[in-house]
Formats: sequence, C-alpha cells, structure tokens
Amino acid sequence: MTGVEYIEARSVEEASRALTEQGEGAKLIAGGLALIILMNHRLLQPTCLISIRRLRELRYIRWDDAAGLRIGALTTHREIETSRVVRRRAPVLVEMEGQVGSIQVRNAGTIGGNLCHGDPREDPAPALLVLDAEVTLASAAGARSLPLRGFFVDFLSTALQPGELLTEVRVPPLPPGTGATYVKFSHRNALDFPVAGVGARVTLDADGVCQDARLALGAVGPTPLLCDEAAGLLRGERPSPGLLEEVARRARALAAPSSDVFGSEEYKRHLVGVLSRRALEQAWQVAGDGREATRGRGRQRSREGA
Amino acid sequence: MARRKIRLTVNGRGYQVEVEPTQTLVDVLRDTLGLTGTKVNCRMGECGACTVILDGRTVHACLTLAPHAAGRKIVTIEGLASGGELHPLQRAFIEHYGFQCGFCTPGMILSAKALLDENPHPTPAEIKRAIAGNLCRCTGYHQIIEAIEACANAAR
Ligand SMILES: Cc1cc2nc3c(=O)[nH]c(=O)nc-3n(C[C@@H](O)[C@@H](O)[C@H](O)COP(=O)(O)OP(=O)(O)OC[C@H]3O[C@@H](n4cnc5c(N)ncnc54)[C@H](O)[C@@H]3O)c2cc1C
Ligand code: FES
Ligand code: FES
Repeated sequence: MTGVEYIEARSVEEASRALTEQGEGAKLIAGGLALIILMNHRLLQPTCLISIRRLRELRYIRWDDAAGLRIGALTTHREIETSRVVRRRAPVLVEMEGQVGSIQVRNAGTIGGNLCHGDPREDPAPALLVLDAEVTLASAAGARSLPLRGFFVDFLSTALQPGELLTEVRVPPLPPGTGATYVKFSHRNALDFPVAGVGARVTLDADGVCQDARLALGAVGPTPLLCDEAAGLLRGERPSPGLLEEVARRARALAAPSSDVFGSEEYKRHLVGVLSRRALEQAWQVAGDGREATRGRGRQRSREGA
Repeated sequence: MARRKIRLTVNGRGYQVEVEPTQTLVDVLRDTLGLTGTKVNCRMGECGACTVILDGRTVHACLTLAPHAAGRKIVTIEGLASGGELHPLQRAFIEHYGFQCGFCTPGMILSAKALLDENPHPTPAEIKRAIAGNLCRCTGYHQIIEAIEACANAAR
C-alpha cells in the first residue's frame, strides 16, 4: 500500500482534530493488532493512519478512592494482567487478561483498541460490564463519560462519534462482599477467541444473601450482552441449583449466537447455560471467601487491639 | 507525504531507513535490512514465527507498524550469538533436538529469552504459557520445553 498519510498525534486534541480533518478514510491506530490484520489482508485500506501509540498520557493504571480503578486507553493487556493495583482492586481483570491471545498479543494490544474495535468475541467487555465499568470519550470539543453498557451499539460498531477517542476505562469501587469471575470457553487453550465468554458478579450481605448480581455474555450476539433480568432473579436469594438453572435458562434465551466453525447455534446456546451457572457459582464462592477474609482480618485487628 | 525516515536500533546497531508508514517491521527487517532470521508466515498474529523483542517484550513483527518501532530497542535472532558463541538457548535447542525444519525456531527462542530474562527459573507450566503464541508443526513441543528447562537449570 502506498501513499497512505501517517500522523503521529502528540495529544488527544491533535488526534481528534486530525480525525475530523482527514475524514472518512482516516483511522486511529493504537497497538495496531486488529487494524494491521485487516490491512495485511486488504480488507481495509485507510487513506490516513493517526497513531496514538506514543501518547504516554493515556497509558496508566491508577486507583483513587472516589473514582475507583482508572485505566488509560493505551494500557496494554499485559500491563493490566501484571498490575498489582488491578490484582488487588479487580482481580477478575487479571484472570480475564491472562486468557487474551498470547503474550505477543497482550504486549501489543491495548484495552482501548480492544473495546473500540467492537468485536463481540473479545474478552474484556463481559468482565468489565459486570463491574459496572464506565468509559471516557474525548474529542477536541470536550469529554463525556458513558457507562460501558451503552458503548456497544452493534457488530463492530460503538458509541464513538466522529472525531472521538476513548481515553479511559473506569471500574468504580466494589462494595464489600463482592466476587466476580470471567469464564472463557475456547477450543484451544491459547490464541483463541472465546466460543462463549461469561462474566459474573455477585455481591453478598453479611448473612450471605445476594444483594446484587450481574451476568454478561461475550461472543454470542452482535455485541456483548448484559443479562439484567436473569441476574435480577438472584437478588434477595441464596444460591440453589434450581435458582441458578433458571438464571441460566434466561441467559440461554437472551443469547443470539450464530453458527460458525466454532460451533452451531444450538451448541453455543447450551454452552451459555453451562458457563453462566459455572461463572455465578464461582463468583458466589469468591464473594463468600472475601467476606470470610474480611471478618478474619477484623478478628485479628480486635485481638491486636486487646 | 508517504515515505518517511525512521531510526531503528536492531541488536544494538543503529539504522536509518526510509519506510512506507504502513510497512510492518517484519518487512523492514527482512527486505530492507536483510535480517531474514525473523520468519514471516501468516501475517495474522497466529503463528509467532515473526516474534521479535521490542524494548524487552515480545511482539509480532508482522503486526507492528515500522514507525511504531522507531527509537525503540529491537532484538532479533541475529542478535543472540556473540563473539562466535551461540546463546545458551540456541545451544540448548541443538542439544535437546528443539527443532526440525527450524521455521518456528527464531520466534520460539526469542519468546523463551523474554521469559528467562523476566523469570530465570520458570515452571514447565510457565514455559508453556510463554510459548503459547509460537506454533511448531514439527517437534510436538516436548523437546522445545526440555531445551528451555535445561537452559534455565544450567543458569541456576
Ligand atoms: C492472534 C490474535 C489473537 C487475539 N486473541 C484475542 C483474545 O483472545 N481475546 C481478545 O479479547 N482479543 C484478542 N485479540 C484481539 C486484539 O486485537 C485486541 O485484543 C487488541 O487489544 C486490539 O488493540 P489494539 O491496540 O491493537 O487495536 P488497534 O488495531 O490499534 O485498533 C483497533 C480499532 O480501534 C480503534 N481504536 C484504537 N484505539 C482507540 C481509541 N483509544 N479510541 C478510539 N478508537 C480507537 C482503531 O481505529 C481500530 O478501529 C487477538 C488478536 C490477535 C491478532
Ligand atoms: S507471521 Fe507474524 S504471527 Fe505469523
Ligand atoms: S521445527 Fe518446524 S515448525 Fe517448529
């Protein structure tokens, strides 16, 4: 490919202006994984590449007590996977990131590029959705915050407006007694998109009763899917096989997979049921263990105090 | 605009090259610099044959835009041997029959090097995870894992 313009943006504002000025054929490039594959195979021929790879200001992982976990859009999968802050504040993201592609993919791919590509098979979305994540979208005109649940519009289509960049992903502080998991099923153990991926989150009160729950499905619809109605059944309840089966049944009904080389529609629907139950059971377990650990620490403190 | 000049540091040596902005690092390494030790195959991040080390981390050279590598430190398989001596990993791959056709070997060895640089005494499970992005169609992987283990143990 020759004659393609290349602009190395030095700020979000510059990238945004370049996007607007260069029009239709312009593409932002971060890690480049998703984009370069399309270009290598001539499925995409941009007229201009606007590189944001060197925008250090978008590459960070921070915790603050009010906003929670803040991850800059250019942070790589590997940086999230190996971050102590993330391990402490949202361990489900470490678990999820460890299952993305291969180390080479995790070293180059960014969280922003992953979400903005809008491919429903990607792993981060279901894990982030159950944590009630938010994203910041910015342009030369200003910035806006959006719940991630409003970000995915359709297959390969997001809420990004012309001239907008995703700059930050935020995970608000989780209430005590919360457990979350991400369960991925793929045919190979590495380098594979999920046939289905399920994120689950459960928040328990002091008596082990569910206060709040989320369930999200990846790879089985045009976008990642949040199963609010199914997860809502858990509120005020303790786990029982019958209850989890009913939640799984509703998740199966909500899933809209298509048949492909990875499996038939029927197979994938079945998988959604199995994985939903498994993910919720694990999340429940983690939430319970977390409560125990907190209580244990409390006891220890009072003993030290005595 | 099109072509632009960039500086690349490959195996400690500086190069000034002119590239198309959409050119990938693997083509610049192989075609412009003549460093054909880095292999290219799928151009989709699937096989790992094009693995190089960029600022200490393995990446696919087939999915790295050449301008993105400018000013950063690149290590290819040609950079491992020094003073006529093979790198311990290269020796271990020979001793343990870690290759047959050899097409995957440069990428495999660089993934192993990045692992050992970060974690000198990995478990077999950690070794498998580290080379999960490198496909080998010949050896069945066992000898490769043994070679990496042997190298890690020898360094103990
Ligand atoms: C072999 C292989 C295996 C993979 N396996 C997995 C897997 O198991 N799970 C998984 O989830 N993913 C997987 N991926 C997908 C991988 O491409 C993404 O995870 C990666 O994070 C994409 O990020 P990037 O920075 O490389 O995106 P890029 O290719 O740079 O960008 C992708 C798209 O997003 C746009 N974009 C990028 N950054 C921004 C931004 N900040 N604001 C607005 N738009 C932006 C670009 O214009 C482009 O359209 C795999 C990829 C490969 C090559
Ligand atoms: S050629 Fe780069 S991964 Fe196959
Ligand atoms: S030795 Fe032939 S592919 Fe690995």
